Amino acid sequence: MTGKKISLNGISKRYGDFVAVSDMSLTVEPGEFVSFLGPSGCGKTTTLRMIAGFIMPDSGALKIGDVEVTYLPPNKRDLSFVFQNYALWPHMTVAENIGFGPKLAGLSRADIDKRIRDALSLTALSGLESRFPRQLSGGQQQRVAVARALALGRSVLLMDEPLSNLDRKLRVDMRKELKELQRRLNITTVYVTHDQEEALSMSDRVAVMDRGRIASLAVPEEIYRNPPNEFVASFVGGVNYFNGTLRHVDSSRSFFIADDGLEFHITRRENTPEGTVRLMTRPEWIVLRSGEDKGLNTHPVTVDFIEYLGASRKVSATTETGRKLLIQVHDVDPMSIEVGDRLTFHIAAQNMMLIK
Amino acid sequence: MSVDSLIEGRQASPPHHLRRPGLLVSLMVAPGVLVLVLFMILPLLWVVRVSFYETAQGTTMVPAWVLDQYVRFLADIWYLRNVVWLSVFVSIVSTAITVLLAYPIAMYVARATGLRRQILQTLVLAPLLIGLVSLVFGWIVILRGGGLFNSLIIWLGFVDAPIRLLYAMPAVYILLIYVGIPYVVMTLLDNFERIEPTLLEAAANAGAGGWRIFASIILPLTLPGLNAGVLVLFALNFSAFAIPLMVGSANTNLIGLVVYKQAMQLGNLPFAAAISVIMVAISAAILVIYSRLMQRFFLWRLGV
Repeated sequence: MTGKKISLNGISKRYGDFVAVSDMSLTVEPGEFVSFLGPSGCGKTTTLRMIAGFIMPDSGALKIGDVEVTYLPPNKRDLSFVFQNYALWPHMTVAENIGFGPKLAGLSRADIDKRIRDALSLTALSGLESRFPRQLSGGQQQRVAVARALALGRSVLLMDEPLSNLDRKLRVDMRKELKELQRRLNITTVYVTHDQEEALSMSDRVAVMDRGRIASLAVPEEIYRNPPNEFVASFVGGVNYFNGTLRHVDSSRSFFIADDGLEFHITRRENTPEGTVRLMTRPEWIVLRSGEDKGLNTHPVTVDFIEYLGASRKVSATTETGRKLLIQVHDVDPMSIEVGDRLTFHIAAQNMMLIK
Repeated sequence: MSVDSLIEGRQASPPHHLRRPGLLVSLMVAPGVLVLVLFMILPLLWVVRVSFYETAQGTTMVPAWVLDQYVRFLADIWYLRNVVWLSVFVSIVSTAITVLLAYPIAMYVARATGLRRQILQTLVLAPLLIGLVSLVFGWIVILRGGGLFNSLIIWLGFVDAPIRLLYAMPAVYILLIYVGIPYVVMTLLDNFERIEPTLLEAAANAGAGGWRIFASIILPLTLPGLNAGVLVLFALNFSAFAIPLMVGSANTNLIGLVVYKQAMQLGNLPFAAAISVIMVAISAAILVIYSRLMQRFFLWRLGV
């Protein structure tokens, strides 16, 4: 099974006055794993269903490999689909569910059986062949859905929030398994999710979608560390914003004064303009220190509220200038923090990012 | 394993207040149970009892414990052929045709939404709401010698003279089918609605075209509804008496009609009672066999 390229060129879909997908263009490379990440109603599922052929676009062109498939019916496309509700046929056993597609493709009985066996062993389901879907747990049903999709032997795999109905522990295990399977089979994959962790951990590239458009398309690290705009920044994680003025000091450093007077030295990056700018930093990029600490990029702060999350603590704090900050403190930090503590916070020079 | 705990959870006893019906619940159910016993169970038991009576001078009931009435019916080849077999044949054929006609109608109605759906559903139910007598009069206008149907086929040149439909078997079939369609459509509609659209999309994704999706997914998943419709319909058709009485002839003696004639026209209650018991027994036997077959061949797959 070798993946094929997927090309979307100016795909649009509207329902009455509501624009579900607007002029969307995207190329998914062979074997690549791309996630559509976004809130509900952002057009991610609509786009996926247009690729599958369940919905016809109003305009634009869609290619799988070199074949134009824009208006081809779903049963003529070289792709398989995993549904959010699994969509297992309740009157068919696991083996019949998996063998349905290969049988329609006209394979011999022996080949069908081999497809079923391979799909079952890939998804660790061997032994459940003759069970009916209602006799399986949610996790097993999810695996059958994946096995059924893989048994079709297609070049493209589309998944619509396949893990969202599982409990958290299973979801975390399954996303690693799915990713390994995808990498091993080298099947081109488009994955729809509203879970940023899922998108970041599984994808080669993430397309963050907002109101029918791609707000950002980049590798996960770039999406998280250097988001192009506020929507992307706040959708994939916690965020603190600073409005202020930027001045370059030399070729490697810039100087930033926030509009409340806090001063920071920050790393100078290419194409960074001088003048009025907006910076962002993530809660876990801010370091809390004892109140005596002074120095570059270090300012006093008072703790307002602490949320204990196990692996970390989420601290809300206020600076002397009245600015609210969100700070995440990892549990390795031995410092005990209490509400009302007067501490200092520090942001490393490379941890303040320009945002539009 | 989570499956096991799930099953265990399902079998666990319900909370205390649900375990035994309270006094209030018993009081609420009581009138219904009373009506059922008084007007359904007791009369049925009475019918069974009377079927063992003797008759004197044709119609006078003489209390006894004899099988005379059963013997009279079952030993008579005329009754077996012209009543029992005819009833079985007519009810199977009319049920089968009804199902074939009702299925596409249900599929069509199930796809409609909003006001359109309401209108279609009302139209389907209309025959049940209008009342049989009015319906039959309507059909008489259509089916009689100089009626709409005959005028039409003569005008179209299919036949030269009117064909006999009314007061004969064709009219009985037509009305049984016509009245039966709403029952099957209603049981199917619910079934169609419960099919997840993604099941059909998944089949399309697997490479199935329209007909294959219908045959492999839609039809099997609507068999429970179809089955329920068939059970109701067969029981109704097998015991039908009003339709053969109103639009049939001496050659359309369905078993229900024979019971009616014996009881109401000839006044032979013990004989009518015995035929009733035989009617219920045959109907039940056929329905049980049918259900068993459906279960064995398909329904077990759905865990029904």
